[in-house]
Amino acid sequence: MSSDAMRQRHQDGFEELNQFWTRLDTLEDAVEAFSETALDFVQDNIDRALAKLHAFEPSVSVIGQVKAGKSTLLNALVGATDLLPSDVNPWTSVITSLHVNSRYRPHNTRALFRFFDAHEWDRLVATGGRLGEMATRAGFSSEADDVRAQVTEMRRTTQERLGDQFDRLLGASHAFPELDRDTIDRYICYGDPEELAEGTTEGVFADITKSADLYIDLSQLPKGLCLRVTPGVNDTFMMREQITLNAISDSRVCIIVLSAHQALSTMDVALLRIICAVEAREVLIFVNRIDELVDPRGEVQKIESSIRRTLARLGLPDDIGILFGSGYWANCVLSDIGRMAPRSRAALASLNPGMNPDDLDAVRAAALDASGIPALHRAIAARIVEGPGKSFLRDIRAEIDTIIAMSTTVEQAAQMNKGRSVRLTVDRQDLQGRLTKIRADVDGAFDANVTTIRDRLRTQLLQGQQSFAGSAIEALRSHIESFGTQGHWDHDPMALRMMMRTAYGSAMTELRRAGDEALETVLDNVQELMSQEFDLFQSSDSFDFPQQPQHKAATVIARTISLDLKGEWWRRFWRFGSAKAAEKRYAKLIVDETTPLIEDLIADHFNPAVDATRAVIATFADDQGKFCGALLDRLGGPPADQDKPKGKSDLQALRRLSA
Amino acid sequence: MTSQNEDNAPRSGNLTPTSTANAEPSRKPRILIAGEFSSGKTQLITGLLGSKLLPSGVVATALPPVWLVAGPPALCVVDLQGTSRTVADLSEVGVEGTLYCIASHESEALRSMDIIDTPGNSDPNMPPESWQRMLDYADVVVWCTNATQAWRQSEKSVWQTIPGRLRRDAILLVTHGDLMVDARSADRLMRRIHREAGEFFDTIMLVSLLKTQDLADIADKLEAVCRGIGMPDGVENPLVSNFSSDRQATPAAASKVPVAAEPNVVPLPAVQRRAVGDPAWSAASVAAFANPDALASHRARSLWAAITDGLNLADPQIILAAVDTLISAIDLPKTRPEASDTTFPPPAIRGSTGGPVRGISELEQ
Repeated sequence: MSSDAMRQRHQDGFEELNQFWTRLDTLEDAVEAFSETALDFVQDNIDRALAKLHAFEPSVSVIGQVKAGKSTLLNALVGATDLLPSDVNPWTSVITSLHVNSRYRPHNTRALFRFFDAHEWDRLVATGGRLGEMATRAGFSSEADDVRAQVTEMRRTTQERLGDQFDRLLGASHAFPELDRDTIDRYICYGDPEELAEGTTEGVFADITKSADLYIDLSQLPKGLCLRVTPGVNDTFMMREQITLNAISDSRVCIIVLSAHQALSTMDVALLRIICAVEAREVLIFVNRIDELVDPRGEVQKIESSIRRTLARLGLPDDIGILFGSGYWANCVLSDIGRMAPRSRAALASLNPGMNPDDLDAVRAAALDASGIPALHRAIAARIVEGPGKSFLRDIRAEIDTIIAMSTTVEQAAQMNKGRSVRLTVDRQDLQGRLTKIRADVDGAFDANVTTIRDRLRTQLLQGQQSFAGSAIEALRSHIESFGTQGHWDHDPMALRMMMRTAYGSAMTELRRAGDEALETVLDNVQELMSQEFDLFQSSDSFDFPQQPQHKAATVIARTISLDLKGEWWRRFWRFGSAKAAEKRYAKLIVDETTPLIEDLIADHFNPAVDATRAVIATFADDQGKFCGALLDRLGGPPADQDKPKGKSDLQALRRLSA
Repeated sequence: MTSQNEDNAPRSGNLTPTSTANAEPSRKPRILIAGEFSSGKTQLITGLLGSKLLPSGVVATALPPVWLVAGPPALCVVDLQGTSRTVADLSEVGVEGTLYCIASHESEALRSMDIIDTPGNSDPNMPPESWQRMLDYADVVVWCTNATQAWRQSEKSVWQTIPGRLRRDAILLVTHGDLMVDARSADRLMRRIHREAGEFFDTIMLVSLLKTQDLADIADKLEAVCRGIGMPDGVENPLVSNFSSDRQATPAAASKVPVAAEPNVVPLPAVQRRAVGDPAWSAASVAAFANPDALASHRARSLWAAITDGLNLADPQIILAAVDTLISAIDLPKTRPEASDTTFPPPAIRGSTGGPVRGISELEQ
């Protein structure tokens, strides 16, 4: 089998996603065709729908421990075997978004690197980052000093390495018109300190680079897809934790990469739990590096049942997909099969007893299958289409249906106008006044609802904090009674997270209801106005309300707090002072650590969700206003021309596609 | 912690007061093998023992800590109350309710040390206490880390909680060295590990547990560390000493192997009169010692140590019998019986041709 054929087989798994894109393209063409002949008042709606269609870029986050093979896997997924660097040591230091066939590529840019800004750095050095802040809050001043000293040292070496550039780089970004390995190596690697000292450029911008966006066009891959690889968890100063959490919240599909050597350690479980705690999302587990196992067939089965058992024991969802493979195998197939390491070759042969090792085509075919990459493509495609794809399609259809419904009504009004003249009781100005009042009433009611919801959310969060602190203190008390003020002690803040998530979830449901209520009120009032003034009825049975926005997952809940940390810190925490003093300190710590979570949940998640909902209501009200205006024009103005036949067929085509 | 209550127990264990008079270490040093799960701990022990006593697999093995002592095969479990009971097979041992197991095995490696196997750290199904509580008993810790994901933050943070006394002689074994694609990768890896972990360990070795030579080097290193220890400072454990004595008292009950007595147990006065001429060590070990190479080096002294290990040398008759045994051992024809498990020839019985521990372990100097 030729290597072209291999490439073909490599990306066959994306078929379902490609079909989905074909459907979107057809829809887009139809909207564009319709837009040629559409009435002016729906032009904004059409532009909005088109912009949405253009911007759709499903994204997949690849996360996992250091050295799980995330970069290698990403290279294998896109079939660019040498794109992202990897090394025997932890190497990826930056969150890297790989945009495949993006329509939104900035002009003349293939690689864009953003640096931390001066404020972020100063804060890092002053507080020791989030880790240092936590140590300070928990009262571990010597640990906090240690962390700060380490950060200061990191800043010193970076500053020394970059010299005069350092200050200029902070807050800046670098863009490159071409993608090449040297450039990538300079920005997204940690680098080897000794080699850096000797003047190598790999990793020269490590530590100050915050994120990288790479744009790559590969004709066989889906039209728009963003694959995001995060540095391995174990980010020493938690410099990138927030960025990683944001990356997760931006991608509804997450691949957790495990290394077959050590599948599902406590670290991986913590990661999985955080992702699942945030939202029921599309999670896939990919067990990588199976080419390094001695007996892949037997061991893979053992690993799978072990993972399943652990997931079940920890109460994590049992429907998480688990796939096995090796990015390395796929990369060998797509580059040079002859260079496959003897160990990997032996593992492949053990999976394929009948394979002739000298028949390179047979080896390629076997390695591609065993690599799990085609299967991972299929799984990714299915999850995108079923998850974000489906809800995107629902949104866009609702928008198109609204356009169709409004256009049809206005056309019909124009037809009515042909036969008889309607005696209008309102003019443009009256209409505007009526609409403004509707809008003000609706906004007022919505804001009142939101205030109630926000207050309730805050109350629930504070109650949860109190009850968590209560149960933690109770547990501490019984520990002290049995063991005194020493020994191993921790209290898993999972219960607190679950409570926060539940409270946030119910607030979001209430917000959605308040939004629906506002939209219905707008519609009811507009219909009443239409029936009173225009003697028209808009059937609300078939009416599609605009979709409310998909709110971002409350990833702030997953942020590490000092209560998550185990080890020496806590051992010391209990060692001094009386039991009463320990309780008091602990209670204060819980409040200090969780109050910012509550505030951030409201400020960074709830409030933006409210704004997004309000924007949807405003747009809807505007649209209805324009619709009434268009009706008024049609009914009050001179009889309309014959319908353009072309427009009619475009409308029908659009209706058919949107159905 | 219960073990700490025994701190005041006599260091000499079951030895009679007369035998504590000399300044020799009161017991064999204990090597604790730790690391995250799937880091090669069990593979290491299998290699050192030369036999697959412990189950291992690609996924975490649900087994409590296993304390390995020399002796004919026998096994007992110690429950959370600190009481022990004999069991027939490791498969009967549950993790819940078990503190650890004690297993005896006839292996050269166990002649000079006890080995304590521990469950993997970071196994979500096993609390870290399950292995950390064994630290009190240990004299030396070997931390295993897999070269493909070596020395992560999670390991470092656990290591930092290890008592200072155990860090002095600690060994970091970077396993799966055979998975390094080339010398440059191995070099880069080891440089990073020395940079990040150098201060925590006495020795860092990159090894492949599939290689006989590497296993031999590890065995040599462990023996050297044991020799250098002097008085071991791990907490005494009467259960383990009693276990050993019990095996000796009823050897037939415990042993399926046709070996009459058990050489490595600290003898009780009642059983000290065993005949020295009995094949107390395996024929294989004697044969291995008794080759010309052995005579050329210090093997004769080692052989003497092996023969007299555990015997009361205050008794002139015993000394004479031991000398007799030594002579006949050296006079044995040079035969080297096949090891029972051909994959893992016991490293302790290799000839003296193996050079000093080479390569990576020198880097740290």
